[in-house]
Amino acid sequence: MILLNAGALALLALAGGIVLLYFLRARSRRVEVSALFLWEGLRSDPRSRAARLRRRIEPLLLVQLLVLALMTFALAQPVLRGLRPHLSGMAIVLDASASMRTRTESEKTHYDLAREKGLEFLNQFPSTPVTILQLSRASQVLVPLTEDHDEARRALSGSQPTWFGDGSAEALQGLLASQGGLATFERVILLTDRSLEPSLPGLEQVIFGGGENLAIIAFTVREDEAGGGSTAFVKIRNDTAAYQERLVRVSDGANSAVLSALLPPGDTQGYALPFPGSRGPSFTATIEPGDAFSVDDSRTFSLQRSLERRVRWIGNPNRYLEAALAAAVPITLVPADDPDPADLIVAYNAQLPPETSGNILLVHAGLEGLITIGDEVQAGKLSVAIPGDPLLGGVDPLDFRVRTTPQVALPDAGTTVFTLGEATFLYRLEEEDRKIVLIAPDLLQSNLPLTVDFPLLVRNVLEAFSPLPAAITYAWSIVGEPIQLDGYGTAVELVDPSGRKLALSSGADSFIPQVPGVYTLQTERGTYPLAVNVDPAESEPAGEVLLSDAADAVKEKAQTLFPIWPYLAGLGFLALLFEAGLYHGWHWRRVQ
Amino acid sequence: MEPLIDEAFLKRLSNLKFIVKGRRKGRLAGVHPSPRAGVSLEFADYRDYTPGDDFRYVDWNIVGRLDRVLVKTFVHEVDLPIAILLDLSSSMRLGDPPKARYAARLAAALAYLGLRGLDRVGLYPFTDHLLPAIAPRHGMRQMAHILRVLQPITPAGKTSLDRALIEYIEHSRESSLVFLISDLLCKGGYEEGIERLLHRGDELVVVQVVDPEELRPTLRGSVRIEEVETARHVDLTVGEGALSQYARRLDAYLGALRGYLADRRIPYFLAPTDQPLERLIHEHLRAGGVLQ
Repeated sequence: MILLNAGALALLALAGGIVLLYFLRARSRRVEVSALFLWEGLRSDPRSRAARLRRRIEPLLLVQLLVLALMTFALAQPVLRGLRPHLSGMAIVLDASASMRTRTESEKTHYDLAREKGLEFLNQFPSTPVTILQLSRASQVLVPLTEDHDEARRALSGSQPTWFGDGSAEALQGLLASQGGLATFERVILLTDRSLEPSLPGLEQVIFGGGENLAIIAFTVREDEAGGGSTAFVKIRNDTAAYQERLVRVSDGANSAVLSALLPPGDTQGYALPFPGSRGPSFTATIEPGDAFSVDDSRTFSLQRSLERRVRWIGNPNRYLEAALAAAVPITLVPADDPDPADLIVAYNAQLPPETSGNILLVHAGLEGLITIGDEVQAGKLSVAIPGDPLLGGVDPLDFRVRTTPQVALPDAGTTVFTLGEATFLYRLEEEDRKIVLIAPDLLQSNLPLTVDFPLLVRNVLEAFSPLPAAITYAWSIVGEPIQLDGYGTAVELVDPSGRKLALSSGADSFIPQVPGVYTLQTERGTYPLAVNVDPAESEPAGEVLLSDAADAVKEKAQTLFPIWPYLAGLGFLALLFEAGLYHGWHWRRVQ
Repeated sequence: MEPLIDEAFLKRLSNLKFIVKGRRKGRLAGVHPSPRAGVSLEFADYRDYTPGDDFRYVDWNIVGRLDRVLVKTFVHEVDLPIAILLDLSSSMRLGDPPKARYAARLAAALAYLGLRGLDRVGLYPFTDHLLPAIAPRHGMRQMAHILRVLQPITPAGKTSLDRALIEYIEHSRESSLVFLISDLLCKGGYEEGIERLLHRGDELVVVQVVDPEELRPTLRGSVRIEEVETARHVDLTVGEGALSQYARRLDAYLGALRGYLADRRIPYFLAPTDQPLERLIHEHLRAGGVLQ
């Protein structure tokens, strides 16, 4: 045993003071009696003076001296010289992929278990140089090779799993190479929930299992060709050993569609959910109730289009019409010469060129070679030509008052929905590359903008145009994989699912998402939702549980100093508590 | 606080009653014989008939045989006034349990015995003078009254037996069976009171309550010994020698007290507080002729 601070033993001299105080206290003992006359005049007993010293050495004094001795030795910092397990180097590799967030029956995640096991390895090899690594699609070195186990413990305890997919053997090899290569380490221990295939030579794998899982492994949404809704496609895999009944809910933030699913064990089922009235462009699919791995219980999907409708306005401005459009959907007005495609072309008091395509709303406007606006005539009696037409849903046209209306030349292929005597009021036409709705009267010659039915009419017109330009792609974006931004125009701002703005370098044409959810990309062309999900491979069932026995691989031992002073201090503290209890016990009995 | 006496203890007292020496002059009907003739089941004597006597008590057999008209007389049974004088000076708070607690339990037991025997019982606490007393009365309501006084007692002050006894004599109007419960650790100062009590015709029983530590002290070493009532003190180094001196002195004191009381035929009982109260009552008080 070695004393690191032998000078502290001088404190033992305090024992003399304790003994002195003890006898001084004993001398002042006071006893009450009923009758002093029985004691008066008695001779003090000289022999008892010496005997008193022996008798007064009570357990209390002995315990106090013991406390002093223990505390003094603790301050002297004694350590024992001994042999401890020792390796030339050890790498503890934590699988930080998203699947390590799976919760086991003990309410701990796989990552929690991996951390505990890692700390166990650190304790077993206290003097071994160690490095702590995190393996995932974005692998990193948590602690470079060091003998400072306190730092390693701190890093290990403070680390968290990522949302990325599994790391590869090549990635692990790269990590190890950055710390001196595989040969540097006598033991390389991978703490994971899925076996690394292919493995590395000498790699020990500790695999954590537990936690049953149902996963949404695919989710996409197709807008219906006829417009007015969409269909969601959800594929769910049951990786448990029992039949599972779940609710599958698809939501676009405002509306939702639900179905009940019964999944046989080990089976994968696909479901198509009709979703009438959905607007998108961002959707979430969830299975309820959730399970041990909640990440794949919810998936997101976004149509690759702007949240706002890009409206190209041609002709005179009209704030009533503009307000009615904005009330139905968020709109962005783009200049007439903007080269990018628009979701809607609105022409008011104008004539469009014949090649105009897309969704076209004509208000007192024409399209060259197809629709011609003629002279104004007195408006006739209002009359519904096609009762129940979707353009008139919720609209009471008999409230409209029109002074004059133009004579209009229209192709026969279209449908006149509403008339003013002989003249057309509302007309629609669908061609291969365009949809056209015509409101013939000039808004200023009618009371339309002042009626409550006008915004409803405009909303119906927009519904008739849905779906607006189809999504570019339905592919999933995965956490950790770059997302190309060049198809959206010049990026202005990117906000992650938690609402935090992400820094975008100028000219950046991609970014790598770090968490799952819906990102919001703001470009000069509009605002786009970008759905990002965790790699579906993370939902694969965990591997067989395999725990490595750390003690088996101890190859050599090294001399170490084992501190015993914390134990002495602890014992001293306990003895102090015992002494206090003893004293108060006696005192209490004396009072009684 | 723990009750002074429990029901089980009281049940075990139910077969006991006080023995009275001679005939007493009680005021109310009771179970103890009186010097006066009266009406009871116990025959006393014959006497000549005088006009006005109740014909029911004429013994017609005697009239037939002796041709004399005699009437039977009976023992007049009266109640027994019992006074319990309880020392509540500060010396009674010493001991484990405190002497006062033991004395209060004894007083409660004696009061119960008296009241159960249809006697009147009064309680007279005292220090160096008589404290507010409970006058003798019949019935178990008196028991509750006495217990209410005894339960929370807090000894305080000095002792003066003489003065307390004289004040008692002045306060009470009739001779009684008097129980004096005290530690009696005072150097003299009780003789005059006892003499005057006996002179009035009271029957006295003395119970000396002491702590075992007072009989056989265990203290050792350098101590300051302080009298609780006066705060006077002596400093001593106590060892075997000092303790044997103490024992001799205590024996002499107790011997003198015992001798004084025996000369006057006053029953005396030493009651260390480690002796069960039941044992004191069932063994010592019965053996001493106080109870039967």
